[in-house]
Amino acid sequence: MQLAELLPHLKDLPHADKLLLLHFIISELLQESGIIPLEDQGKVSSTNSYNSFEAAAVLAQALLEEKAVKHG
Amino acid sequence: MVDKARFRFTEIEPQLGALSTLPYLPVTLTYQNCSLSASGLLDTGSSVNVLPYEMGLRLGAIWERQTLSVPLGGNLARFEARALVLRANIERFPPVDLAFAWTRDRNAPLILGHMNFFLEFDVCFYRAELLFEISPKRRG
Repeated sequence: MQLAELLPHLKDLPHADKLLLLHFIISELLQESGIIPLEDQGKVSSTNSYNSFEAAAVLAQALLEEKAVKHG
Repeated sequence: MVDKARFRFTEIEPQLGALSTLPYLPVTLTYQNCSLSASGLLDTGSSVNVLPYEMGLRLGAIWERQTLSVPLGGNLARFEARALVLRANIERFPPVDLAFAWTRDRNAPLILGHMNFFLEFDVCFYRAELLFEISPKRRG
């Protein structure tokens, strides 16, 4: 679809959708440029599941429940 | 039966070359009748496997039906996580059940951690050669 075809539709969008579209375009441009958005910077390095031993215990329970369902 | 498989480290930043390589493992995940192929980061520091939200949705899992809440640490603590058990096929090894902390964090990577990836597979890292090798645990 050409931009000229798209423009009339964009003009008809509600205000909130125009803002969301703007956000989408900025995200696309950042992604294409290989730039990490400010709100995501440092996220990957600080995202962690370290020392989540209680979480590991819950997953062990989930596996037991799955086993019980499969094997009775 | 194949008892070992070798994989190359994956280069994340082409400009940085070998400095940016990480051990991503190709895996096919299945939930009920739905499968997808993905690459999971082998993370020996992670207590658990982590499944990003979108990936769970693409597998057809329904958030509201998962009843076990998983308390994660770090930045992931900001997002709710629930336990989800998936079937995992790696290379030509027999399929295994992997339990994941299915996080609502849409930016989380797919992580393969101690519970229970590293309980199912032994892994040797040959970082200098940019290789890693995995083998299923021996069942006695």
